[in-house]
Amino acid sequence: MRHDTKRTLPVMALLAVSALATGCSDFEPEEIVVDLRPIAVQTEPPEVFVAVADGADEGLVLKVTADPAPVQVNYLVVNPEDMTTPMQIEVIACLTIESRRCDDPDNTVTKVASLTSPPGTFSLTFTPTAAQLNTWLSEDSFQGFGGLFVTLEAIIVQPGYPTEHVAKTVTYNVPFVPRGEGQDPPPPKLPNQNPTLDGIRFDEALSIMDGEVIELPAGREVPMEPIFDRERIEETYPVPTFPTSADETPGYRILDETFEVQFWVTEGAELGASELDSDTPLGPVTDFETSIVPPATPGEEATLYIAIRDDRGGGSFYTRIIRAR
Amino acid sequence: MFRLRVTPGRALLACAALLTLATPAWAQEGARRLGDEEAEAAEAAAQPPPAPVLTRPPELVQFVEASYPEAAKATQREAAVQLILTIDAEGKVTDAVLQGEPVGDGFDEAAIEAAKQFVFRPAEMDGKPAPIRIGFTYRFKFVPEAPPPEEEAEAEPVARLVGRVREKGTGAPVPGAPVGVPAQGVEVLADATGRFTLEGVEPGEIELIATSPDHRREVVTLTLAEGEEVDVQFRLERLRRSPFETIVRGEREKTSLTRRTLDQKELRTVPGTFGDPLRVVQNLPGLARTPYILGVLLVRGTSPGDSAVMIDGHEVPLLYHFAGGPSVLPPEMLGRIDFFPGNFSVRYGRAIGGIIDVETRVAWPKEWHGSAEIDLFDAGLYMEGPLTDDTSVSASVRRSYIDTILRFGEAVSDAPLATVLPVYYDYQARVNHKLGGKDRLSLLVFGSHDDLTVVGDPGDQSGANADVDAALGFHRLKLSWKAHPTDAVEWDLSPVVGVDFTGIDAGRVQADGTVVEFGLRHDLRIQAADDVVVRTGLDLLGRYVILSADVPLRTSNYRPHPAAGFGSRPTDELERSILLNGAAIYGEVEWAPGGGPVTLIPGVRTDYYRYFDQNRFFADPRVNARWALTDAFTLKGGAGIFSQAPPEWRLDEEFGNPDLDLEWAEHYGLGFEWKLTEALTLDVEGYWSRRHDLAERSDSVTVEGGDSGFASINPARFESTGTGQSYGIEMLLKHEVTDRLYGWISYTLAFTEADSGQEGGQGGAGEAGGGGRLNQPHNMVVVASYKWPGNWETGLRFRLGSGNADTPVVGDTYDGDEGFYRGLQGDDNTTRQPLFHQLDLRIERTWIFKAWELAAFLDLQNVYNAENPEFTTYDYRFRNSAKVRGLPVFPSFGVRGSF
Repeated sequence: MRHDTKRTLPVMALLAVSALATGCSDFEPEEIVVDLRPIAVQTEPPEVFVAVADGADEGLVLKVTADPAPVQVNYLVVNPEDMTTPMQIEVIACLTIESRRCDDPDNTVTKVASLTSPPGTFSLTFTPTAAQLNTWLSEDSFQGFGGLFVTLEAIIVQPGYPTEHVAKTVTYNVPFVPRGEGQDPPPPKLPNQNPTLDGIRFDEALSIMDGEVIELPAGREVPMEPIFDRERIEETYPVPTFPTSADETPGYRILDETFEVQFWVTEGAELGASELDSDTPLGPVTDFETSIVPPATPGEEATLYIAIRDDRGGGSFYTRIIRAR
Repeated sequence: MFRLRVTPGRALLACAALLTLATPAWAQEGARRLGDEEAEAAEAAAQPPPAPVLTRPPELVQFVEASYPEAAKATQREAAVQLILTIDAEGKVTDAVLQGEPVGDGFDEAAIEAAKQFVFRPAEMDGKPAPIRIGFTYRFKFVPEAPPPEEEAEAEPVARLVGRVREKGTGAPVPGAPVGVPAQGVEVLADATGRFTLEGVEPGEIELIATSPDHRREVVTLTLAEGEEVDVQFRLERLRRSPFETIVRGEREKTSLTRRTLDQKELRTVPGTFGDPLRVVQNLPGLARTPYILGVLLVRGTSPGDSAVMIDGHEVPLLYHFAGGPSVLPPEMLGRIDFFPGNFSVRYGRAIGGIIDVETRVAWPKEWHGSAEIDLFDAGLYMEGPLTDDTSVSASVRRSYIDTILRFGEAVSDAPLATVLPVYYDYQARVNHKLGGKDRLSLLVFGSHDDLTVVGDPGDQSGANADVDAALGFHRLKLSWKAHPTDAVEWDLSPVVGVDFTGIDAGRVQADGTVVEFGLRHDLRIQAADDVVVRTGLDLLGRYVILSADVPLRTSNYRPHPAAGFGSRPTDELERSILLNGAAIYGEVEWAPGGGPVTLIPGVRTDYYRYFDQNRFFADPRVNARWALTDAFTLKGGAGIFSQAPPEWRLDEEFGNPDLDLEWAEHYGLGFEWKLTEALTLDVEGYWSRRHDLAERSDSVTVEGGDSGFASINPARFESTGTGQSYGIEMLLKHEVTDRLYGWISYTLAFTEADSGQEGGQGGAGEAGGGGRLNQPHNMVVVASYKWPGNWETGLRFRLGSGNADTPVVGDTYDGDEGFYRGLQGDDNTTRQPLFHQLDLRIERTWIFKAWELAAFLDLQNVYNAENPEFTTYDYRFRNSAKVRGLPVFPSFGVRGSF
């Protein structure tokens, strides 16, 4: 009957050391985009409801009976050093595993697309068949309970730069959750929607156009705030709960989405906080204001990238051009 | 979705947390307490026992006056006959021989005849009556016959000297010390309290001399008037350890294959250990080096949770404040630390790694003594003294005050700061009582409390900044009844009750846990025959766990989206009241056939566990053997089975797996002990251990049901699939503590392999052993300390060993769901940090005053500032890496006053 404190206290101490190590290093800051960088990926829609066989009314995705709706996948991959040389892009799909790579020999891998594109935005369509989904269902340890999570891995090669592997999850699900004994009827289950920003406020000015050029005082810190409808993007949704013994029945519980907004800039500009989370283990956040420092030389430009993501694979991305005046 | 974002502010916070966690135990040197007149008998040791300690000198209780030899009456001479008396354990003089040149005229024979009739209160070695030899000067002075009654002789004018003989610095009395005026031939022996009365001293200028075999003689010159009484207080300076020849009765128990013991001197003065006795253990073979100042035990490749730390045979949950600060017991309360790296006696259980058993010190002071220490971070007090002739008490308390300093700094700077405020305290109190004969009763209460408050920086824009309050601690009350109902039987009955508590309040995370613990040990020792000792015992443990928490936990009954990180999980209210029980019965026989060179110690321990309505039984048979080929060379070997329950929370029905098996291990060892000289011993042991049924995290899920539904989904969470293996050789070349020198060279060659038994888990044996990133194939420690004249002491510690194992990152993937890169790890623990090497030095000076002592030391860790990387850190894309260095040059200093 060993005390677990002997395991947890050293782990806490090691975490402190790790935080110390990270904070005290000289690595380039993550929020500054210098070379080839995947910024964000969006799947539209992020969650697809599928048709399943009769009797699958307990929250399981048991057997898909029809090909699901296609999913459009939008990428933002940039390279401030070279925005013209085409990238070779290979996209494959597999069941989601912890590494987010499609390299587990026990999982079936399907080729999705091969394309070429210069850095910037590019898109493709993912259209798995019912047979393919059923193959992945049979490989899933939960047999699809709570959803079938498929990873799209994009392998991006631009000559002269390290290969980038970019992973994105597409969720296939059923449009219902089971009702457990003694539970009220479950609320309607809707597929996840991508969260969006209504605009970005720079001090007093509001920018709502993607790709817009914003002129700001050179070298001076300017308050910056993402504008969004929190009620709309923080969806409430039911998830099925599974029984852990024979005398239990499946049921559901209600969860609230959380989201985060992330910022990047190209060299010349600086950011205050580059990541704003709606909720943290330490408590909810109500202040989403950060700041940006434009380039120091009037006329110089930097690119600002923004992404908003929820915790169910939904997301959107935006670009602004910051010009110093 | 939440990810710990490291900003400069938070990095500074972590730096401050690490530095404040590194609160050392400053200034722990203190003088040997001569007031301890009795200590518990030492137990068996695999190594030859250290030199016995004279805890009470002999005291003359019946003096026999010798007849003035006829042959000398004509000369009326005075004489002083130097004798060596041999006193047995009952206080009788078994031999008296002349020392030096004979005096002649029959004085020698008269002195010897009288001395042989002396009766002493016997000397005590390590608290037990023991034979001893002492020097004794028998003085003869001619006293003429009394004049006829009708003649009234004129009374000689005399003076009287009274006083006391005590030891300089400690103030302890020096009983039996001869005090006299040699020129006048008058001498007395100080009594048990050091007091003396010298009658019939002729007035005038005299030299009064006090001596003692263990002390430097002191001479006081006085001028006495007629009829004057003068009080003289002597403070004798102690010379060195007892030079007397001693015979130790009884041998320590040797029921474990290897037992490494450190005594008080070694516990306090090893460089680089902050004067903390429990850290000294980490310099012995069998223990891997821990990074920084982490206070965990890595015994022969096992994880920290596989080894147990006990205080007087009862396990305690914490050893160090904040996992890396001072230990929870101050040096004054420690008597001895025993470390068993494996193959330990059946007396110990519920562990598959090693055992550290800390024996608290039993003090029987004749007078009150104490000490006070203060340093940059904490202050402590210690007192001990007699309540009655049969009852003594000792107590200690320590409290940190860095929080006060930081709050003061914040107030003075008038600016909000991100503040980390650690507070810790510990306390111990002990009452000892002699019941009669050798029976003893003692009550020990001790406890520890750690409290950490983090005050967030309101200027941080990056997210929520919650204040954090965390607390951790325990309290224990232990009773011990040691009885000797017959000469052949002794037992120790020891119940203990206690409470452990943890608590955290950090934003969404709220948790409070309380554990009420009850334990009972009954150890019985029976000398069944001349060559047979039987030991049996009972070891009961009950633990009632009460937990209330509101935390975002690993999900229990639903499947989250892969992008749902820790921060997005809903909080679950958790209420638990769990009773965990354990009961063990053990027995072993120590058999030395014919009292001969071979000793066999077979034993068995049966453990019963009950947790979460599950019953588990396990039997641990063990055997150890010793073969003394010569007086100086002993072969030893052993094998055994060891078991333990998995950590409690891995058995939880909702978040763990109550069907986990007990974890168990096989230990095998073979080696020798070689006493090269009186003070130098070599101990070599090869070992091999295999571990089975270790609880490992599992992703496997069991789904039962058909196409139209299903009966259940059971994520295993944990499975008993882990295995491990460790093997190697340990060597310890040790110089015992003598007058001036102690030290040792320790070398360990160790290999560890581990396999989680899970897909994608650790597996195989590689250069780094394949299991455990803290596995270090080579580990050498050199410790030496030398005492110079003038009460200076210097010491060094040099460590040379393998760096920590590391798992390389061989690629990266950008996670589009969560917005960060994930590193792709290669094979576990297949690379290694550079060689570790570090030199620590210590210098210490003690000033001895009449009534007190002052000690000051400077301890310098990592003298030449070696880098010694402990980990590798990566940039956000895992494309660039940097080594995280170990502790830089780190000075610590302290002062301590004691009386």
